[in-house]
Amino acid sequence: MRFEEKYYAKNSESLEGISSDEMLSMLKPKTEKAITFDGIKEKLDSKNKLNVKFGTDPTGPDLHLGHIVPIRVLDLFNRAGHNIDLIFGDFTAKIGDPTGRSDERPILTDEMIAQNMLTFRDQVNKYFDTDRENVRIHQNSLWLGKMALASVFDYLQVINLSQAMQREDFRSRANSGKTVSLAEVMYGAMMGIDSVHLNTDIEIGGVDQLLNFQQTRDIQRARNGKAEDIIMTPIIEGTSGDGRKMSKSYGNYIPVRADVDEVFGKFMSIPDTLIVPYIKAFAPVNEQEIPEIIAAVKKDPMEMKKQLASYMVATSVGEFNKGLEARESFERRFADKNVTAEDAIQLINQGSLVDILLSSGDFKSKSELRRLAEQGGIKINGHKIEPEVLNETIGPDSLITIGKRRAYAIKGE
Amino acid sequence: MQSKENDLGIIGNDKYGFNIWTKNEPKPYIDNYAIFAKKQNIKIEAIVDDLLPAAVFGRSKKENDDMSRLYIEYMHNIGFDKVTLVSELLPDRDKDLERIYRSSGKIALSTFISLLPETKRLNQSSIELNEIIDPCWQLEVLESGIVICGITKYLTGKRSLALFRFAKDNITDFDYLVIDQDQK
Repeated sequence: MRFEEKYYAKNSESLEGISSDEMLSMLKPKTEKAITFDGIKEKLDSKNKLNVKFGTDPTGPDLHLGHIVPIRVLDLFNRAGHNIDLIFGDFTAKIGDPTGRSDERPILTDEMIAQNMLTFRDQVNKYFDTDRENVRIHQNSLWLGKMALASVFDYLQVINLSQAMQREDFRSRANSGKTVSLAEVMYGAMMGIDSVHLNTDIEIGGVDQLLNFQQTRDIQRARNGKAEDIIMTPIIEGTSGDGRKMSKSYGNYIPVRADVDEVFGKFMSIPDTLIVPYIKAFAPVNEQEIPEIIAAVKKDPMEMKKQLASYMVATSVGEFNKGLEARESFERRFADKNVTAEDAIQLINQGSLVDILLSSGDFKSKSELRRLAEQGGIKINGHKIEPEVLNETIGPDSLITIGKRRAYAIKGE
Repeated sequence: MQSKENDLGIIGNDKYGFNIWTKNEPKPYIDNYAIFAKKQNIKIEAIVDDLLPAAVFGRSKKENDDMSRLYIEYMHNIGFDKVTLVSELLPDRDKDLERIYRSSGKIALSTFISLLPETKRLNQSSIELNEIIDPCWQLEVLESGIVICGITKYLTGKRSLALFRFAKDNITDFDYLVIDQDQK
């Protein structure tokens, strides 16, 4: 059975009743760091229905696939019959940026928060159905917004300040003369209060949250006598494969809202070194299957990349055939060199040609595009361009092809 | 009314306040503020924080009420024109974390460290996270005195100077005057 078929079928399999070893084997490929696997195993062995928490801000961002890695872990726990507590941190969002200096954190109204929660769920639902039974949606202002001074003291007294200040990002900002506010120092403690309130057994989040999670555990241990266990997912590398994390600001991301052809095309653009990390992050593979997958990638990376791309398309729309159709469309376009504007990724005509192409996120730098143009690899409406043209604006409705695989339809003035 | 400065640089239509928390029983140094106000012929209101000490020392309601009563009587006896408890200014307890968090965004970690007593500053490993509540809360209390009681100028001692300097940078429309707490 091909990769995409096998794992697409596994997406919807019930995991209820599987052994703790089997569950851990599926969790480990998606885990950068755990505190601790022994603790998680013990909780799984208890056969209790566990409370698994994941927190996010209700700011309604456009998510990319880097955000989806912990979501895939939630999906595993939910299919194993556990409760998922999806918590929106609206307490801080309602207060906004207390300094009033940042436009990035405006005060959000209840209506805006409700809309942003819908936006978030709408995107996440492609990879984890938040309408499922046992998925509970929370807003932490419900309890953090009703907390008296004495309670705040009780919670915060179990955390040592120097421990709260250990975060690497705090240190680097302090060293570069930037300010760290006390609100940021308090953040992990508030996550801990959330966990006490929800009686969390296991929390899922990115590995960049490590020190917040440690505070969370301290608070929960002091309050409940037991600490939650943590699964920290990796911060996945962006599609350009240059070692930088997937991020909108680096332009190396795959938007969750991307259409099927864009998802397929973006996966096909990744370097071979990212195939296995992406499979581990997104597909329900188990630890024992990894050597076999590595061997298959080594043998035929292009084929495995197509199968991964097909799997991701199928998963995102919940239809296996859509993955196959996206693959056929891709192969037709590029194998037959028959690229049309309908097949191409659409880009907005804004700025020079080099700016427009960089906005696709498919290129690392201006110099990469310049090299491609020097090699005759960039065409506008079928005509090769000289490198100088990259700095010029281009006409409306142009079709840019780059090599055999990439096509961009430029829309607008 | 036209503002008029007297020989100490005090604006004639300022409303004066003095902020204190009920850590221990009232001490004689407080008298200096009342004496100063009397000498200058100005009215002064005491803002007595009965909430933070109750939380810090885990006082029962009765213990806290007794201590508050002690302060109210003492402050009136030495000449304060009005005594207001912080629990009257900020009556809704369920908003406390929100108040602290709002202030915590205004205070840089480095500023907080600089506000600490030297012994703590030199031994930060012994500081609990709940110590950050103190400056955050004090900022809220000072602001509530300004907004709710209409105080435009606080009297303070040298020991609180760093906090007031910081508060002045973060709260608009108020000033402070430093009084020598140790004067006889």
